[in-house]
Amino acid sequence: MFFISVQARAYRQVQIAVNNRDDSLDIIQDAMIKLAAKYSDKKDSWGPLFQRILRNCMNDYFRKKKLRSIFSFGRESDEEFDTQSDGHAQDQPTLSEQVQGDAILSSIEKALRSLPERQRQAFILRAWWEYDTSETAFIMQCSEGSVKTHYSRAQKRLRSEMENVNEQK
Amino acid sequence: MSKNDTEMNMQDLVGRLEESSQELDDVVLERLAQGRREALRAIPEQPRSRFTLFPFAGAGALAISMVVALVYFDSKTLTDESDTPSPDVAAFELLADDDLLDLLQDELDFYEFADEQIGRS
Repeated sequence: MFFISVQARAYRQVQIAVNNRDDSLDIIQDAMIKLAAKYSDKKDSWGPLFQRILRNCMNDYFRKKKLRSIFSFGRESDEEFDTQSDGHAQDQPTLSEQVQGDAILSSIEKALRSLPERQRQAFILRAWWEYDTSETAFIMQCSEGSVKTHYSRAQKRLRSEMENVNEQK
Repeated sequence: MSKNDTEMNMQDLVGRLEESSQELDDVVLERLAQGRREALRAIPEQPRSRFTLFPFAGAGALAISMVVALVYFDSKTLTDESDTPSPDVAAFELLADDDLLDLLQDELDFYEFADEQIGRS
């Protein structure tokens, strides 16, 4: 029941960060399995625990990807990710572009990808998942003060990005 | 831009994200369902809990205390037995005890008197 309630949002969350459908699904599945295997006796805390595991899985993914890119010596230049946005984003068509063609959603995803990783995490956890500051701090493994700073900066930057999108229309 | 405008903007942004998360294609949904099934299979049959260790710890402590008690009482019994002489040795010690023989000789008159009295009756 827990997995059904979080799967769609978690998938979109990872997909925005990773920008690859199969990799996103692999990360979600990995996080679900780890949560069930290790914390089956702590179902009351599954929400924040799942987010923390998900975050660690994403970090592992980015680490491996970075290593692959280092050892490929430029052979996989087509697959190189954009280091401007913390090295996580690619210019592949997104789900929104492929399926919905929703320009606004596309610009939202683009704006979120342009954020540094910590700011994006803070924004998604606070604004979308509606976790409070202490829960977000637990998930992000940082202090509540850092969460507030990241969240505030993310809001400011997103507002600026969205203003630019509105001006371009 | 006022704070309210910003919040509206953020709410709209989050609303759009939420909408998009509800519109997943069949392939993604099937993969997610597969992930759920794998996760459910990964749940251990008996969740690990610190409380499940309590009976084992109690049984272990009981066993150790029983062993200690057995060793203690066994050693005490052995000590008591070594202090207590066997009946033969005790008789020999009795015979070897000069003071005790003297005591018996002193009371010999009494025993002869008692024997006479018993013979008369």
